[in-house]
Amino acid sequence: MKTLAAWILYLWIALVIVGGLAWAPPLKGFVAGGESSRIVFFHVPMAWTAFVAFITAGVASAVYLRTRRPRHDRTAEAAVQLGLLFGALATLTGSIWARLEWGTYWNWDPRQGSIVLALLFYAAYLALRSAVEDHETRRRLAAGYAVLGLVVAPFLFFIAPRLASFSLHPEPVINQRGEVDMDPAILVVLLAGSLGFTALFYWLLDLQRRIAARLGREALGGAGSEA
Amino acid sequence: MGDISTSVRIGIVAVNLVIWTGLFLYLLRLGRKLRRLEEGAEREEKP
Repeated sequence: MKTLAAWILYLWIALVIVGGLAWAPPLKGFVAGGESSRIVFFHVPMAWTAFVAFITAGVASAVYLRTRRPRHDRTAEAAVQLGLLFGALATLTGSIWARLEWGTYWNWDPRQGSIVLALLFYAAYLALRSAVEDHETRRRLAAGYAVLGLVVAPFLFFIAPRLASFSLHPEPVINQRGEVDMDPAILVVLLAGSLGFTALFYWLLDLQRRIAARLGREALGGAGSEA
Repeated sequence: MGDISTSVRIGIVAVNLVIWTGLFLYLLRLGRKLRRLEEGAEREEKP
């Protein structure tokens, strides 16, 4: 059943790729007749998924601080790891696009700067975890830090780039006027991609959390239920 | 012009496919790892 679901997800994203390549029109005003813009069909959903991952980590951490159940701490840790993965992939695809469009992989555009800060913030979360030996203290400190991320992540993803007076980056899906101003076909592919990658993230999160629980249990030498 | 757009298009599709296939393989790998761990735990529980 799960294998079938995995293949459905694989086909879903494959359709997003085909839709982004053959169905959605290229954006006007980009190089190579707009073809360079097609990378947004992967770049935007991956940036979105990184944001979802960081928010998930914050929410799971808040639940941990309230309930003190280790499973929520494991969820938060796995979510941050996956958020960093998706954030790095968003940065990579963005850099490829920047090379095509601006002739250089990196030019410290406000959005490039804010994603780097977000990645550093969450890399520090993992560094914090590895620096504290006592399990309980580590979980408590990491949870407090990830809850702080509930403010930091929305600021870095949505607010800080809009505060800049100048950006080479194209307008986001919801533009400066608070409107969605794009071809419906482009919007459909972007939403389908975001949905597919969000589903993939939660699936990966569930697997990573359960593996961490198993490995933690084995380390303790017991086989009790997941707390 | 046509050649440039074709090569850009192929390049972008290649990047997308590599990333997506990599993520999908990672998903399958995690699933296999979890199954192995669960089977190992079941074997240990049986006398």
